[in-house]
Amino acid sequence: MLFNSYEFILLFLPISFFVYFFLNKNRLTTASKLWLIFSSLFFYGWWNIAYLPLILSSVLFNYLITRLIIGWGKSKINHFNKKFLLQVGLVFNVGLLVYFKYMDFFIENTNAIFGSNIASLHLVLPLAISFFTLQQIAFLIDSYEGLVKENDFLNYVIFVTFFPQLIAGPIVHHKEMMPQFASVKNKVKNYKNIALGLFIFFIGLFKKVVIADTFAVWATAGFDTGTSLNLVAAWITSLSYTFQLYFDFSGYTDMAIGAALLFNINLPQNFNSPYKATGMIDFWNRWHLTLTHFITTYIYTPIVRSFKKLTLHKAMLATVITFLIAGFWHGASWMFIIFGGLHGVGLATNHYWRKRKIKLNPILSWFITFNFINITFIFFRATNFDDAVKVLSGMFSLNNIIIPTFLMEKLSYLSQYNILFGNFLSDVSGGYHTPVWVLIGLIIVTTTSNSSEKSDRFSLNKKNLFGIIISSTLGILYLQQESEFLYFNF
Amino acid sequence: MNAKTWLITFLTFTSICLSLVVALNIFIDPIWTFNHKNKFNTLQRNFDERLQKSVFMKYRTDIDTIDSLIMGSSRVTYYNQYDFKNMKAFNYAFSSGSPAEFEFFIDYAKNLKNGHFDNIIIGLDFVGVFVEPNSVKSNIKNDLRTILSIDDYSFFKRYLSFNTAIYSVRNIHSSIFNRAGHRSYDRSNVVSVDKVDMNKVQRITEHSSQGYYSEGSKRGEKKHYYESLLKLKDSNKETNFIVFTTPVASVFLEKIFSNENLRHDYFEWIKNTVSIFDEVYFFTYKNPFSENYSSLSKDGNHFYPEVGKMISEILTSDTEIEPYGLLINKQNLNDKLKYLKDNFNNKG
Repeated sequence: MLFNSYEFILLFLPISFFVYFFLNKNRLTTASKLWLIFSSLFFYGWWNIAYLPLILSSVLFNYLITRLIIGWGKSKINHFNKKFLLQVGLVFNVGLLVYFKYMDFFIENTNAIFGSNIASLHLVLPLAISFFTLQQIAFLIDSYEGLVKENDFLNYVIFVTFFPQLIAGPIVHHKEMMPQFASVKNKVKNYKNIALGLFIFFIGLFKKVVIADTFAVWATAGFDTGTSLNLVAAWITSLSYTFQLYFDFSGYTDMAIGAALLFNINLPQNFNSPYKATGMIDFWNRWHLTLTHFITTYIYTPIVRSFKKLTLHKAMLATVITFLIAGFWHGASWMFIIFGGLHGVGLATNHYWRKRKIKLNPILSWFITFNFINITFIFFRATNFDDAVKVLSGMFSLNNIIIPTFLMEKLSYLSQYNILFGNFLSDVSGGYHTPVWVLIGLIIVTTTSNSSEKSDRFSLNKKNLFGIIISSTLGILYLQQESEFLYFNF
Repeated sequence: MNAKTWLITFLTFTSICLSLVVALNIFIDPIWTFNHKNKFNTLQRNFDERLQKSVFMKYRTDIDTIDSLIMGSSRVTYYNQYDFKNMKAFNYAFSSGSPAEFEFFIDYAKNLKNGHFDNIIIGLDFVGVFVEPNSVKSNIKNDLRTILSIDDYSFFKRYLSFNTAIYSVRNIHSSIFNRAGHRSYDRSNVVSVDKVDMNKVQRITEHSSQGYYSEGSKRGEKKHYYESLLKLKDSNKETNFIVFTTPVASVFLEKIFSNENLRHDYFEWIKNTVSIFDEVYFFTYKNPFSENYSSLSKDGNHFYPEVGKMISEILTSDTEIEPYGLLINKQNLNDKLKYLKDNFNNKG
C-alpha cells in the first residue's frame, strides 16, 4: 500500500488509528499491540500477500536467535556459542538479502567473466527487505554486545513491522523504538501529536505528489527515452532527478514520521536540508541520516577496529570500503557500486582536506558539493553505463546546444558557433515552465527550512492551519496519478 | 487555539475544499460521465479523447442502438457522427489515433455492445504510415490502462483530481465566451472549432509542411502499418468496412511528389489499402479540398466540420464522389493510379 493513495489516507490510517486507541482506552493493551501488528502486516501484504510468510519467518527467526543469545548470556554459556549464534543470525539475514537481491547480479557477472551459462533466477525483490534486514542485523549485533535492554516479543515484532517505517525507513534503532512501544504514556491519544503528525504527513504528501512527481516526468524522459540530450536538456534531466530523489524520499520520510506520531511514536529524523551541504562529510550528516548512522556503527567502525594501528590513510580506505558496500546495498548493479565508490572517494578527500586544514570559500564549497552530488546521482539513476554517459556527455558537450526559438531574432549570430534554435526541451518532454520549476526547486532546497525545522517550531496557529489545509487539499487532489516511491526499489 | 479545535477546523475546511472541487467537476463533467447539460459545460475541451469517448460510450450511449463506429485520428474527430446517413454512428476517433490502437477500442465497444457492428468507418492519414512502432506500442500500453481504469471503481477518483478541476475551469471559460479553440465538443460528441484567419492558415501550413513527412522519407519498411490494417479487417469479419483517406493541403501534396521515397510510399499506400479493404474512398490528392485548404482547414490537414459533412454524405449516401474524391477498387486500381500520376505531373 502506498502512503500516497486514497486507500491509505481515507481508510487504512483512520481505521488503524481509531481501533488502536479504542483498544487502549479500554485497557486492552495487548490487543492494541496485536492490532498494530495486524495492521502493519496487512499494510505489507497489500503489495503481495505471497511475501508475508517471508517477513514473518525473518522476524520469528531473528527474535529466536536474539532470545537465545540474551538468554544464554545470562546463564554463563561459553563465548563460543554466543558468537556462533550471532554468526548464524548474520548469515541468515545477509543470506536472505543476497539470495533475493543479489543472486541474479552474481550469476550475470559470473557468466560474463567465466563464459558460463547459469540461468538467472528472476526473483522478485521482496518489498522492504533491505530495511527490515538491516534493522534486525543491528538488533542481533547489539544483543551480542549486551546492549539490548528491552526484548518483549510483541514489542520486537512491532519494532520490525511498524507500518510507517516498514517499507523504506527511517532505519530505526531498537534503543530508540522499543521503549516507546512499551511506554504506557504513549497508549493515550495526544491531540498535539495528532496535529503535528498530520502537519508533517501532509507536508510530505505535498513534497511527493506535487513536487517530486513533477520533476519525475522530465527526469524519466531524459534518462529513459531518446538517444542523446542537448546541453540544456541534459542539465534539466540531472537536476530534475536530483530534486525528484530528494523530494520523493524526504516526502516519504515525512509521511512516515507524521503517521507514526499519530500513534505517539517518534521516528528519527532522516534528512536535514542535504543540498545545503558544503562538503561531503556535511552531506552525509544531512542525507539519509539513519543509514549513515547504521553504516558508521556496523560497517565503518568494525573495519577501523580491525586495523592494528589507525592512520589517516587507513581511515580513508575504510571510508571507501564502507561506501562501496553502502552503494551496493542500494541495488544489485554496477551503477550503485560506482555511486558508492565515488561518494567514498569524495568523503575520503573531504577528510583529508579537513586534516590538512584546507579551507574553501563557503559558496565555492557548496557549489562543488552540490554539483558532485548532482553528477553522482546520475549513476544512481541510470540503469546502465550508456544511459549515464548519455546524460553526462550532454551536460559537458558544447557540440549540441539548442536554445529557445524566441531568442533567434536577437541571438542569430550564435548560429556561426553551431548553436541551434528550436524546441530545446523536447527530449525531456518539457516546456518553458521546466527551467522555472528547476530554479524554484533549487531555491527551496537551498534557502527554505526543512520539515524537521518546521516541526520543531510547530505551534497550533492560523498560519500552520492555513498551510496544512492547502498542502492536504492539493496533496489529495494530486493523488489521482498514483506513483511509487523511489526507495521502494531498494 | 487548542489542538482539538485546530484539528476540527483543519478537517472541516479541507473537507469543504475537496467537496467543492468534486462538485465543480461533476457540474462541468469534463470526463463525460453524466448526461446533464448547463450553460457552463456546453463546450468541452478534449484532453484525452480515448478516455472521454470511451466513458461517453459506456455511460451515456445506448450502445444497442449504435450500429457503426467511426475510427481515425484527430482529423476525423471533426466529422459529425449524426451526418452519417442510413446508420447510427458513434465517432470514436481520437488524437494521434493509429490503426494498431483502433483494435483495442473497437473490442471495447464490441464488449459493451455484446456483439459486432454493422459498419466500421475508418479515416486513414498518409502521415500515419510513418508513425514509429515504439511510439505506437507505448500508446497501446496507455490505451489498455485507460480502458481498464474505466471499469474499475477507482475511475470515480478522477472527480477528486486537480487536473480534472483545471479542465473544468477551462470548459467554463470556453462555454461562457463561446470559444471552441482548436477543437471542442458539445455534450453530444460533436466537435466545433474556431475558424482561423486564411492568411494564418497558409503560413501555418507552409511552415508545418517543411518536416511533416521527414520520417517517412528516411525510413524503409512500413510493414507494421499494413499488418495492423489487415488484423483489423480479419478480426471483424462480420463488419462492413468503409475506408477513406483524409484530405490534405496542396502544399503537403507537393512535398510528397517532390520526394522519390514519399512518392513511392504514397502509391504503395493506395495499392495496399485497396488490397486489404477492396475499396477505398480516396481524398488525398489534388481536389477542391486541397486547393481551398486555407478556407476549409485550420492547418492544412485538419479540415473543418463542413468538409467532414460532405465526406460523410459521400460515404453513406448516393452523393457523387467526384470532383472531391476517387472511389478506388481492385478493378479500377491501375486506371486510378495512372490518373493520379498524371494529376501530379500536371501540377508539377
